[in-house]
Amino acid sequence: MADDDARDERLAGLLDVEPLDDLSRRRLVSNALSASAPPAHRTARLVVAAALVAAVVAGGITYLALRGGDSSRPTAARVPRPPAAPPLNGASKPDSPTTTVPAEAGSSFSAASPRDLGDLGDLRDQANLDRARALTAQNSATAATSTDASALAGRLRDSTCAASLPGGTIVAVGTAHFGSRDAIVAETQRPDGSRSLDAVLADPCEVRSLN
Amino acid sequence: MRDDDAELAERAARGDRRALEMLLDRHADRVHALCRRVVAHPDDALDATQEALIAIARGITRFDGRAAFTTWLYRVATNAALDELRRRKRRPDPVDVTTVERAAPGPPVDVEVGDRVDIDAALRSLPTDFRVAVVLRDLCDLDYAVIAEVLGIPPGTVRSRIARGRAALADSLGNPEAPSGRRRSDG
Repeated sequence: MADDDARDERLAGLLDVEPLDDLSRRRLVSNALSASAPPAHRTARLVVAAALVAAVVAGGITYLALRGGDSSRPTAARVPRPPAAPPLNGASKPDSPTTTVPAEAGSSFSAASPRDLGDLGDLRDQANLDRARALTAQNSATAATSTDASALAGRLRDSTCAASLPGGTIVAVGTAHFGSRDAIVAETQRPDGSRSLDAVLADPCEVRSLN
Repeated sequence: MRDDDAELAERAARGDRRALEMLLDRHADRVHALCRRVVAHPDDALDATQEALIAIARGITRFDGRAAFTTWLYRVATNAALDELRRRKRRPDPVDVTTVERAAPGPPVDVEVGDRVDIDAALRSLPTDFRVAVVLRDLCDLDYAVIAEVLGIPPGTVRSRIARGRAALADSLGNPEAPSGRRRSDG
């Protein structure tokens, strides 16, 4: 009796298996290599796809932000706005579609018509001056009559000294006088958000601060 | 060989695809032989071999080098073969062409081919546990301790399964003698 722990050589011979042919072995190995590789490749492909999507999204957001963040840049896609009043000093072309004027030109008109402050009377009178200040402080409390405001805007435009107004956007206009001298009162919103109230007198040109 | 295997496995685990390819190519026959005898069907054995090689390729990073590479390899291959057997049970039993050919009238096959055909049928008649143990011992030439490690069972159980498997095989092959008592040249 052979040792039970020893290999059974007769059985080993019966169990023996022919080696794989080269083609089969190569195919099996190649398939195994391919099957074990895809997870890494899939991950890489997913990363690339995610990066592309992120880039497209980021590009779109940037585009929209640039498009929507700077109202002074007209774009082909923008809906045309109604023409606004030209700048005070006439530096820009009258038919310019833009609603602002270069900074060196001083104040500019906002796209909406300025509020009409009405007739503020003789501003040498402290009470009238206070009323003018109060009206501007109330901001939109006064009903606007765009027709009057537009007319005043036209007069401001024609004024040779309008460029002396503080830089910014004129948000309200009204009429007044200093004795016998007519004046146009303009409230200007500066780029930093602060406001300035000024009177523009003609003949000779003069801008008086009412702040 | 073992040192080479360990080195290749370490390189493969680090992502060296060439090392992995060499490792798989080197052991493909070994894996196939085990699968062929455990599954006892040529086509299913190729499927099992493929699954085993894939499992080795994917799991090479989990080989920690504490055991011999071949021990880990046989464990993976054995599991793949057993999985294939389970899959085969769930599908219709394929016609065993080799058995049909053997049974059909025609020119007599030589003794060795006859033995090989018989061994598949004999193996299929064995309980799977016995079959695996006998294949690992007498085909793969693993000692009892390694078989115990591969199968995760005590060495005593390995010894018992091998003894009973060999005896059952001898009966199936029509030899009243214990397989260990036969000489290889008998065939």
